[in-house]
Amino acid sequence: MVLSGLILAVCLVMVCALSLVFGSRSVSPSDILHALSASSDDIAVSAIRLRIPRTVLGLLVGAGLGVAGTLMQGISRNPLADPSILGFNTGAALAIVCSIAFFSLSTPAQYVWVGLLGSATTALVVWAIGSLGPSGPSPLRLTLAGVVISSVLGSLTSAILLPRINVISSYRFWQVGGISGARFDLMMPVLPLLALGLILAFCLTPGINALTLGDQMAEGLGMHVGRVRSLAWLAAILLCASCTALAGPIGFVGLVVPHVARLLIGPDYRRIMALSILIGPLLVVGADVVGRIITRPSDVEVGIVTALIGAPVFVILAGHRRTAEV
Amino acid sequence: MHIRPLLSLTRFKRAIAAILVLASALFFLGACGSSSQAGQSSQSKASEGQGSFPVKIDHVYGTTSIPSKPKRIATVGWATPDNLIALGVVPVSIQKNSFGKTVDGGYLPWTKDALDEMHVAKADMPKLHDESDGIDVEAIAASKPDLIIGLLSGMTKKQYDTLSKIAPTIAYQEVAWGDPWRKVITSTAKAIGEPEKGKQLIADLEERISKAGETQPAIKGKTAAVMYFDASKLSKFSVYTTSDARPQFLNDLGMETPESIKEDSKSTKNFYKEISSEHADRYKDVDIIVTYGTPDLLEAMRKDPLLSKIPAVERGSVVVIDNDSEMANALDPSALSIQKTTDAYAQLLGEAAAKV
Repeated sequence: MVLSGLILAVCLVMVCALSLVFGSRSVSPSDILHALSASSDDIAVSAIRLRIPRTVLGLLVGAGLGVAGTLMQGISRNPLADPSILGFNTGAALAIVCSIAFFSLSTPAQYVWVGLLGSATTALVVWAIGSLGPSGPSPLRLTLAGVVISSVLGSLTSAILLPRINVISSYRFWQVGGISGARFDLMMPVLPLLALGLILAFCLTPGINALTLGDQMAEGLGMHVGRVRSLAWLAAILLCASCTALAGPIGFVGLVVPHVARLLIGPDYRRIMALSILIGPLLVVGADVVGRIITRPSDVEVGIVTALIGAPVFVILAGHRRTAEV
Repeated sequence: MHIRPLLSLTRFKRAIAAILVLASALFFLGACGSSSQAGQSSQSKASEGQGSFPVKIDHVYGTTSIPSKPKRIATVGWATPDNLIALGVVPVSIQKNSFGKTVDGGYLPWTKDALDEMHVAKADMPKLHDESDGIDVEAIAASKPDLIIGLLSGMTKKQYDTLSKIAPTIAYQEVAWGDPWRKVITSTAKAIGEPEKGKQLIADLEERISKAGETQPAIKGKTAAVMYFDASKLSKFSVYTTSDARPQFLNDLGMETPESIKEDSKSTKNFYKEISSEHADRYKDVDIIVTYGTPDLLEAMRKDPLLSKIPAVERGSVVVIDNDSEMANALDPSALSIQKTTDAYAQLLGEAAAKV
């Protein structure tokens, strides 16, 4: 555990360094020094400076999505659970499309709050529907509610988008999911929510460990299943909603990260959670660096790269024996 | 080429041909109750065109043969409806426009004006089909076309195959959405059996453009590029390549293509290329930038640490074409938009050129 954690941490530091050094534009070592110290106004220096918030956002979003995916798979006991399956992304998307189409909002600063609102509202609705019935929220009901709500909201989004080409062109930038336009001033207000979600998630891990044994067993161990599950859901809302608000819907991170952690470290959620917070950023920042390099002078958004890397990884994982041991 | 066999016809055959033309014209009159198209096709020039069919037109998916003079033309994509109308033909079904400024549920302003000037009856106005989610094949089939033209479109092979089952279909010829306007007009004119009219139209438009260019001497010889910036995400932008009609039109107005754009165009067949803003300084050879955008765009570009490194941005020699304006539709020129907007466009370019 300590060893793999250490190795991952070293990798993460290296990827962050790569993220500053390698970009669409090739820069020299002296440019890097200038960017970090003196106040030069050279384009290379400006480019490197813009990569700093971009890398930070990659770290935040990666950590948030990785941990959120772990939480969601834990509380729903569904190895496929991730922000998009449970409706968080589609909710944010619908809210943003409505805001563009009906309220003419157009800046990233506005999208952040609208996306947050849409995501959180959807999560609450999914939770409410998943908790219908005398026995409260069960893993299966939550997943089904998520899938159903997600597809309903998806259709609504298309219905609003289709007749409005102007909206499509604004929306597609957000929808791809990327961290290229990162700005510290946009991140700051969302940061507390993200931090709160992470803290909550780590406090809840022992409970989630118990949940994976089954609701009855967990009750038998003296746990308030309902309370743990709803708090974990709240943490997932905070994490997913803030990440989606900042970077758009980035797929596969929430799905793949817990699986990779599980393969490395086994089924204990305390350990999975601890590794997720390293693997998530590693995946997102790494994918962003790859996206910047492969298509010079263009720039492929991280949401596309994670899907390209994530899909085959997931296929391999799905065929792996240990995937079933959620 | 098509004229030759016509010359060798005997008088007898000519008489039969004439009778056939007349009969078909009469039939068309009776069948449609519309005189606008049939009236034109019964003119003396039309009989010459009629004789030259079948016409063969090459495009990206092969060669399409048009057996006889088309009467009901549906168009897919951009500009072709305008070009047909400028050539005197009213199409039966055209794309519904939802970008820029549109009137009456999806006509471009100058398209509607031209149709009104031709006194097209309400029932004969082109039907609008929606292409925002793929081509609405059913709507096109419902208009019962005998020819479908998509010379300035992004028609896929699959769409081509489907449309070909409805009527002979012409796709784009070289670049999806990007063939030059002269070529599009030439091929459109050929498809309706009026190649001479096409040549005349192009000559008229060229004269129109060069007159507009002459009123703005400052733009002559300046380098200009058409790009796309989005104020809400300035970390990348797009440049339109030399195979796109938009920058070509700037050449028509007397402007040069910057080396940087020529370089970008070498590596792609696409009509545009996406560029990371980290490479903004590649475009220091661009005197004037033309871009679509919102009114706050230039201000946002000037504040951006990377984009402000483009000299044209710094000095403000940027023409921002408002996304919701009529001019936004005119950047990609059609026969009608050229007639209507070239003077205003040249003036905008002239104002930007004054800052160089």
